[in-house]
Amino acid sequence: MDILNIDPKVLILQIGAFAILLIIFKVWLFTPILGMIDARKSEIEGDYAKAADDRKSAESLKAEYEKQMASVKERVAEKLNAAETEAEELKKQILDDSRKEAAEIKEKARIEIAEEKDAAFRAVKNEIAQLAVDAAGKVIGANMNTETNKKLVDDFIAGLDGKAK
Amino acid sequence: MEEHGTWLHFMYKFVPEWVPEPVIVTYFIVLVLAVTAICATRKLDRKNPSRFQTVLEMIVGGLAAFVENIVGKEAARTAVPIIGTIFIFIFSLNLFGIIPGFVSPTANINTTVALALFAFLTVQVYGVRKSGLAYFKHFLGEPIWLAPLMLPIHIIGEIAKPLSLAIRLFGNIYGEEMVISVLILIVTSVMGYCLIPIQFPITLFSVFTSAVQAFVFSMLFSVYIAMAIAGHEEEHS
Repeated sequence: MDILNIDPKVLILQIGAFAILLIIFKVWLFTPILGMIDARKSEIEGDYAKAADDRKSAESLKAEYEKQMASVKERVAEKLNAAETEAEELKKQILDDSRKEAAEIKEKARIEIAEEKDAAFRAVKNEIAQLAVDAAGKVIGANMNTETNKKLVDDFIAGLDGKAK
Repeated sequence: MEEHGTWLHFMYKFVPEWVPEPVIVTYFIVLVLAVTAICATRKLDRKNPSRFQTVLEMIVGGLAAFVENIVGKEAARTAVPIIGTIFIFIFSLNLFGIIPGFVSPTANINTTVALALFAFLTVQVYGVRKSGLAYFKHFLGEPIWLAPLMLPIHIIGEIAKPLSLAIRLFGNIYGEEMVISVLILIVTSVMGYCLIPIQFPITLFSVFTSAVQAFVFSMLFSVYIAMAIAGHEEEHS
């Protein structure tokens, strides 16, 4: 000890100096700063975890949204198909009704025309019969019984009718 | 490098004569470091740290990571303040020798032996805390019948660790101070009026070696703790 000039009292004093500094550093330097670094680290890790959770939640929401969108599209497609089918049926029905109505109108018109034609024919026949009776009376100079003569002419025209048909 | 007058020589009015001046310088450095640490950590802000706080966090965080890498996460909780303090303490003790009017307390063997003694005791405490009294079994070595031979070898080996720490640090810093002193002596006595500061490059270099010596001491201290925790077998492997 004497050769190296080591003094135990000085050793104790130097260890004491270091011990004092160690206590001060532990309390005022390392504990607060390491605590703060740890707290910041935990905060950052918490933020990362929260971000990951948010991302997961967003992905889940997106998946749900996409699922809903697919469902909506499917329903829309179904409704469009149904509407198209309904429209086709309606169109067909309208066309059928229209055709039927047109046929009915045409038939009715045809009947009316035939009736009008018959009526006109009858009128012309009567007129002709009257003209014929009048003409024959004038030719033979006798007063012919109108009813009887008219019947004769009518029969004659009827005979002509049959030929004409 | 025996005791010579420093700026703190006036303290002998209050301190007994047998106390060497490096001890007074050591306590002065402790005071400076303590005041700096207390002032520096008074207004810590987690959200918006100041530049000084950022530097402080880098130093403390770096020391913590360094110690954790060597001793492991579990032991680091208690070892970081010890090794961090010893690094800052030795670095400051080394650097004070550069300041004119001061001496490096680490250029005194008593300071380095005291630190090495502290390191030695701490290592033993870690070993006992980890393995209980079984920790001392590794001094007997294997096989057990070789214990009479192995025990003194292991004890010498264990003592050699702090001894090497103390002498390495003391030798380096003492040598550095000697070189600077000799160079200053050359400038003042040989060169006469032509005062060229030829000690300046070695003074700058001593800033570097101060850090290196502090680092080496702290690293070896951490390694010894890690070895004590890991157990004898891993120590040898």
